[in-house]
Amino acid sequence: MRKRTFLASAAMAATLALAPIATLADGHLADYNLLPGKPFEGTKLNILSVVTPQFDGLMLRDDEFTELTGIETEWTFIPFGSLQEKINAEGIAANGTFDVVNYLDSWGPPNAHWLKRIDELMARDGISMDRYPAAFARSAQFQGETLGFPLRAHPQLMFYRKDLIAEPPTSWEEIIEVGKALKESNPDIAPLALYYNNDGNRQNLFIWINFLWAAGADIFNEDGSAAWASEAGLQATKDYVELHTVHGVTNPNSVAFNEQDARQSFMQGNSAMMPVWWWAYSGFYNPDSSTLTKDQVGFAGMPSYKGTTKTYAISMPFSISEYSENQDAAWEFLKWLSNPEMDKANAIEREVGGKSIVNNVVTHISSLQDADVNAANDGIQSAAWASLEQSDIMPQIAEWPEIGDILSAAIAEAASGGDVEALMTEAAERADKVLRRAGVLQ
Amino acid sequence: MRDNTLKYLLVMPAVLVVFATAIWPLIEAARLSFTVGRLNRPGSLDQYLGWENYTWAFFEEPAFWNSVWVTGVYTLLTVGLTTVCALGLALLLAPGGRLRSSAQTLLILPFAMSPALIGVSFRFMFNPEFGLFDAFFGVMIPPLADVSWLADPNLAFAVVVMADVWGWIPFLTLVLIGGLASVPRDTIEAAQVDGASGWRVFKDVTLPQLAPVLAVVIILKSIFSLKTFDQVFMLTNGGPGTATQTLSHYIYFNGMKYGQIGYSASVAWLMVIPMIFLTYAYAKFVFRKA
Amino acid sequence: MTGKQKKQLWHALHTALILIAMFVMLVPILWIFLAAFKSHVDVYQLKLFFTPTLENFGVVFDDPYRLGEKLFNSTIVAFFTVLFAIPIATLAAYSFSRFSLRGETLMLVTILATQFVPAVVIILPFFVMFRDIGLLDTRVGLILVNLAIVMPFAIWMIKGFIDGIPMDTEEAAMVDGSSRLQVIRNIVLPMAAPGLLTSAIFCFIIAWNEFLFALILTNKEAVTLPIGLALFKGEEGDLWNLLSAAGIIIMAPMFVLALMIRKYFVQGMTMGAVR
Repeated sequence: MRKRTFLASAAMAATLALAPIATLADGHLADYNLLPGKPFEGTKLNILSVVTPQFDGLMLRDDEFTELTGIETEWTFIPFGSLQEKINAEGIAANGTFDVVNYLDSWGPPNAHWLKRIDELMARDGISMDRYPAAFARSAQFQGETLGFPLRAHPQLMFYRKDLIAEPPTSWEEIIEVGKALKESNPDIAPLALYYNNDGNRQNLFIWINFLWAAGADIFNEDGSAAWASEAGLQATKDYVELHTVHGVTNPNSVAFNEQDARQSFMQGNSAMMPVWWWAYSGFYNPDSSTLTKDQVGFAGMPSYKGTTKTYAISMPFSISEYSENQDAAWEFLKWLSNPEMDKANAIEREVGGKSIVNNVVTHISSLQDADVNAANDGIQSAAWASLEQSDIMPQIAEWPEIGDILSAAIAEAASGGDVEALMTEAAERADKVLRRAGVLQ
Repeated sequence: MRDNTLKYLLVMPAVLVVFATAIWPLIEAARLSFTVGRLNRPGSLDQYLGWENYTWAFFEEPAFWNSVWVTGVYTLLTVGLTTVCALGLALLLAPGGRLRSSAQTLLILPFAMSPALIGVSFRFMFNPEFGLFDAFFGVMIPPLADVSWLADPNLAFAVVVMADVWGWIPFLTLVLIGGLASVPRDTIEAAQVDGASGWRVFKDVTLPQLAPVLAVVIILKSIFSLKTFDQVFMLTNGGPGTATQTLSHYIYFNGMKYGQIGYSASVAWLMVIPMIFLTYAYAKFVFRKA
Repeated sequence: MTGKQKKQLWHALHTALILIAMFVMLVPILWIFLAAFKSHVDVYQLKLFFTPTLENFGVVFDDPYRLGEKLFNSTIVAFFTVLFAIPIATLAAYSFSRFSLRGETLMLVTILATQFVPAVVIILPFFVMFRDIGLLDTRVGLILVNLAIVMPFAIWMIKGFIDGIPMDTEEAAMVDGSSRLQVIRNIVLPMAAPGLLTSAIFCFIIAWNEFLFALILTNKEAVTLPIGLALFKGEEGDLWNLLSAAGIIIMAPMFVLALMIRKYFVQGMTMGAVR
């Protein structure tokens, strides 16, 4: 261990020593910790990325990177709905079509066998995961090793209609009250858009897990067995489901909704509140997609459950493929791509290369707290930073797709009127069996 | 070249293609079904574990039985409903005339539609907030106005069945119109002269004459129903919960999403068994004709 | 009510029923058609009247959807599948039709049966093999597996057409000294040409609409149109107007083709069980 630290600091010292010269020659070269002398000139990197204005903004800025390093880039943008299949297929084909890949954090562990560990490179170049909020950092790590940088990452916020709700509710208990009052005063609009459907990426766990964690329960026990069927876990699940089945404060279609449908419902003015990722903010008042105006859309931190708030955070890291033949050049690219200055600029500047980019997603702690960034985005980063204080990520195990689906199906069935206790207990038993069969659990 | 040699040479390429694209995969799938076969574990495709995949499906995996049940009910319903609707439509359209023949022409359209697209369009149609059918049923049958079709396990199942029936009615109708055309007119007229009612003519004359054609379409439809994947994948993706998860969908999820190729191959093979019986029944009809 | 009135009423009832049935069969297609010309905001309303826009058709061909590439892949894959399948199937069909072979029934039943094997069984070994030999996400790989679905239909359908060609011309030519292959080329092929074209179109439609193989085997380069539909599920949710525009691009050419061969559709699907 000591040896590695020494090497790392030596490398860092070397980089620092070179820095002044490099700056003179190449502008930002040192700011981004890039290697001087264009060692990878002429290399071409293939990048697989999700479709989002945020990354459009990064792509439109990458001429600077090519200028600094001589490395060419080609981005392939894949809409989110097909990204998981792409990532799985990339790991299975194992031919290095893409040098750099972008994925959802929970797909990391099943694909960890072909994602490059970057801890040593980070140490060499003086980059630390401490620059990210803890939950974001963890989302890009697996079994203590770092797989990539969380370039797109989201805390949860509660969005609400400012014109209908004066003060945003701060607890789920309060949401039931506000919701019931709202149903009286505005029968045409459903109080809360939730998403209980298990289609998609197990989106119905996103809010549920707030309840679960706040209740002091968890998904897995220390030994790796399913923990959600504990007494606290079952109660939390019941309370989550009963928002819909008992209290009726949710949009009646919430059981059919996935997250996207719920957002549509909010944007079409059919629901008055919606807990969802912060990135949705700009879409909520974009006239091309929404019927709402900016004055109508407010946001607040996630409500508490039984006095505790613990939110769920998600990220879409960028990693280097072990199958790539250009891993060193890809590392240069990752350093440039993830530099804090660009993180900020991409959330402030509304036009890049003549194209309009509206993005409020930043992932560096420095950007979350930055005054300019906050000023440009109605202060949503401050709210996000608060939400991230108590937040965690989904379990990082390779069998998660299967376990998560079992869990997600049980919750969907519970929300459409099933017996919570029976469903969740059965799901836990099944999960344990699957884990035993996979050799994860004894 | 002598015909005796030539005739085998001529079928050779086709037999090779069929062997390579269908027989070999079947054998290889059988082999895989006895392995650990996890995609993210190198070497596990050659690591044998006997019948464990099969016993897991049979004794440890309720989701397997769920998909067997779903597939069974789905097949019964889609075959029954499609046949009845198509028979009605065929009787309606068989007499001919301009309206009827243009209707027959239009019938070909849904059949040329990709099943995946049918799935997409029904999801669109039954969207709880802006779906056309959702609104339509809400007006026609008021108790259904506030129902989210795709959220309720039974209704979502009904939608999947509806989409399939919608997609298959045209084909079955066209087959049955063909079948009706071969029912001799004089037999029907003779029965009518004897004073038999419309229903009796249908039951005692038309239906028996139509029976072989009906049997063919019923078997064929059963086979396609058992295999259903595309629409389910695009329409409900097996949900809500696992209420619409057919066997093909279950196999796809286990194989591709969870990377358990070995296990999914074993379930896939279990699915081949009913197919063998149906194929046998079907072949009997084909060769009776020949 | 007189007999005549009764008949008129009966007639009107029939007409009404036919119209209703047609309406039910066509509404989903029409609704997709309308949605393709709606703007993003209009799609979320049950509007029958709106300002139509062609914008969606532009968007689907643009980044990141690039439907043009998928259209190209679908065309190439379906075209070459047919190009390989039809000649191979024709030779076999001729032999099955004109000669009696040892094990003929077994061969024919096996060919028939392969169409009934669930595609998901066939695809698993291909997926593993293609991974090992680098054929994943290639059009070549897709063409190979598509042969599996198309061949049985093609053989059975073409056999039906050749069965219908009388043998006397062939026999006369043989007596005049033509070889069997010459007979096939000069007599059978021209006479069977319309049937071959029909079979080719039928197989083209099947290959074009194929979903599961392409879903599992393609990733970036070889993605076909039906899989392209999944592209329109973005972070924003289902983009119905774009989905609909893409849907029209997928189905419109098939409608034209299907109408061309509508008389033979039934024959093709039932593989000789119903003529």
